[in-house]
Amino acid sequence: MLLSIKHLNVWYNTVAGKYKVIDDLNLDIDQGELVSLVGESASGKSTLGQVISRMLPPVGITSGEVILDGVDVLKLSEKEMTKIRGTTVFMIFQNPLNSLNPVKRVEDQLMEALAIRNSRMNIQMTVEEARNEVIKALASLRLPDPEKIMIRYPHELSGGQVQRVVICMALLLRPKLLIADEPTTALDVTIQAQVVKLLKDLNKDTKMTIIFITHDVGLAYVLSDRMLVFYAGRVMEQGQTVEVVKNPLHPYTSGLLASIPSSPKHTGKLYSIPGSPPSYLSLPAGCKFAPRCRFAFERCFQEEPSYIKKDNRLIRCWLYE
Amino acid sequence: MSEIYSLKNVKKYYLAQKRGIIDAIVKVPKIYVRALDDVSISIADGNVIGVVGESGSGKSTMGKVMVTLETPTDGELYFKGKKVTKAEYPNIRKQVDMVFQNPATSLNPKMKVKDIVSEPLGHFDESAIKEVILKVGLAYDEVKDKQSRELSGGQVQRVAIARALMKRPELLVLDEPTSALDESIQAQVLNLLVDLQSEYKMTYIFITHNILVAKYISDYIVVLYAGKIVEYGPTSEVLSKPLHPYTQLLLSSVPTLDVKDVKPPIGDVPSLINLPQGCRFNPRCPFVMEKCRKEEPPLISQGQNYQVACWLYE
Ligand SMILES: Nc1ncnc2c1ncn2[C@@H]1O[C@H](COP(=O)(O)OP(=O)(O)OP(=O)(O)O)[C@@H](O)[C@H]1O
Ligand SMILES: Nc1ncnc2c1ncn2[C@@H]1O[C@H](COP(=O)(O)OP(=O)(O)O)[C@@H](O)[C@H]1O
Ligand code: SF4
Ligand code: SF4
Ligand SMILES: [Mg+2]
Ligand SMILES: [Mg+2]
Repeated sequence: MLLSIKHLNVWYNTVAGKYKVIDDLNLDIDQGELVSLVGESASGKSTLGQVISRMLPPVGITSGEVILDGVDVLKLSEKEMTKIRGTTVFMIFQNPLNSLNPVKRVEDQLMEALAIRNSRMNIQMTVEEARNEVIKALASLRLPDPEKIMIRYPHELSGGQVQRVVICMALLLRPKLLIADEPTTALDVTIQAQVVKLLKDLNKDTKMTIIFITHDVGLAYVLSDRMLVFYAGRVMEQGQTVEVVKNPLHPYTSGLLASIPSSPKHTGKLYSIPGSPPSYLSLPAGCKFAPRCRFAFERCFQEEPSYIKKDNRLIRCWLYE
Repeated sequence: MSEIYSLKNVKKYYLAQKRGIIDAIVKVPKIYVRALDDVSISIADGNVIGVVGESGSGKSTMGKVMVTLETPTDGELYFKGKKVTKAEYPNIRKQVDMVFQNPATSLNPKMKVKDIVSEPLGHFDESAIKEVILKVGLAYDEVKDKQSRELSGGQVQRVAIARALMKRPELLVLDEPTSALDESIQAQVLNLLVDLQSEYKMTYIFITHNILVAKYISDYIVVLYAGKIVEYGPTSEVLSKPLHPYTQLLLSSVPTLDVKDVKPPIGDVPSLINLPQGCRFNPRCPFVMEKCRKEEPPLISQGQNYQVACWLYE
């Protein structure tokens, strides 16, 4: 088991008040898995990524366990965390420029990444060898003219190129766990598809474990083997990607899938889940989806369902008790 | 159906960089970005025309030229058969309007909703404002005094649409109206747009990155690549059996719930300053032939209202 999360709760303590954004999350991920986190904006996906990589801002408060590669990262000091960041866990952000240093050339940043890897693994390399390794990695991402890209600064590259440079960093660092938070949202579909292929290959060829965060269910379907569906800080459904998409059990999952346009307008109106997501400051009692759920019954408004196991899946819904 | 708007050989070149006085003195040649490069299209009344293509392919530029916010560098525009000259611009703007990409940034965040919506009218007519705000599915009393920064993404998008509807335009350009929205709210906005179109008998130019959305709402599809139309035809044909190699690769890049794979084209979009010789897609095209590197293919007719710019279909 590479990652084991037990009873994780996360709160943000802000001027507006203290509110819980992750509720009793449990998740086990094996080495080599490709897992996606889906759900609408503000459902808590990025927060989870930040907790695992220990990038949560100081206003975030946690309880529970996040055991990564044998250690509980929530209990590590910042100094101990620095030692494993990059090679044990590496996180890619939605805005790729956040992952790069704006005043350093691409080459220097990639060489640094490789140096970190080499020093932690006790590998000796000459500057020449290291440089070749970096060029090889860039070329494997099908970046045309790697040598030209290396001498540039991040702002001199297109969005797609920057994101590929960041993925190149991951390639050089070879983290055990890669967390990619909406890495393609700002990119064109063709470049998104290139990045998706890259991540799939990386996972297949090097057994790198990947957590992919997105609000695009189609993208998560194409990419991942396992899927977690978030709503209001809860994992409402969790299972094999193909099963979740082809046969959604939780009413929120089926609503989300049904609202994706799939046929032309003359065939009828698009389905959309009525209402809007709740505010964390005033979450409904009971099931958090109840005010929008067409199957809601009395119990749903009083008691919140915990994880219920059905057909290899975990579902937070009273219908499956 | 009659033609409502047409573009004939329209070009829009932007100056790539500001030139200093010294550059002009020593005659450094001007460098242009060819955002639209010889675009011709005839749009029939009452249809939804989906415009798809990668970032920088010229989608927004085409919209801005049509609503006369940008003046073409070359070529002609015709609205209902009448040539659109500069003198005609104010008149055109009464009948052709645009909802901009990112309304959250294009609307004044401090203005009240009722003022945003009434602005195009030039005077305050509460009953007219109330009517369109209700039309777009917002509660008038709840939102009228709110500033746009106090609204959710879906609400801001509705306000932007309400504002455009005030003038009862005959043709409405919608630039990425749902790309900032979650799937469920996107579905609401799309339903709304379909209803409004049939109620007001409008023509839409619907710009989007999202092929599934284009497939849902459009009657015809225009595929732009590096400032040029490469394919134009009925949605059912273009998006189910595309002819142009670029359209094919664009479609196989789109993640869907049907196939658990994507097949992206190699390489990047070309620079609009230095376009490749011949067909501008040739460096990325799996079917490239000798001729493609020399001569640029024109739009070749493939039956009624269907055109493709590729030598494979000569
Ligand atoms: N005012 C301007 N000055 C200079 N160049 C411009 C200007 N507006 C657009 N361009 C350039 O023209 C080209 C086409 O831009 P346009 O905004 O039409 O693309 P688009 O297809 O709408 O892209 P996106 O999908 O990113 O919105 C781009 O290379 C862009 O940088
Ligand atoms: N640094 C922060 N301070 C306070 N609240 C935050 C912070 N980051 C995120 N949040 C809030 O936590 C909730 C979940 O956010 P996030 O994890 O970013 O969701 P997602 O990635 O699913 O869109 C949202 O309500 C968001 O506004
Ligand atoms: S628990 Fe009840 S309200 Fe919640 S999703 Fe299930 S049926 Fe709907
Ligand atoms: S003209 Fe040639 S290069 Fe261009 S798309 Fe057709 S086959 Fe490909
Ligand atoms: Mg996020
Ligand atoms: Mg645009």
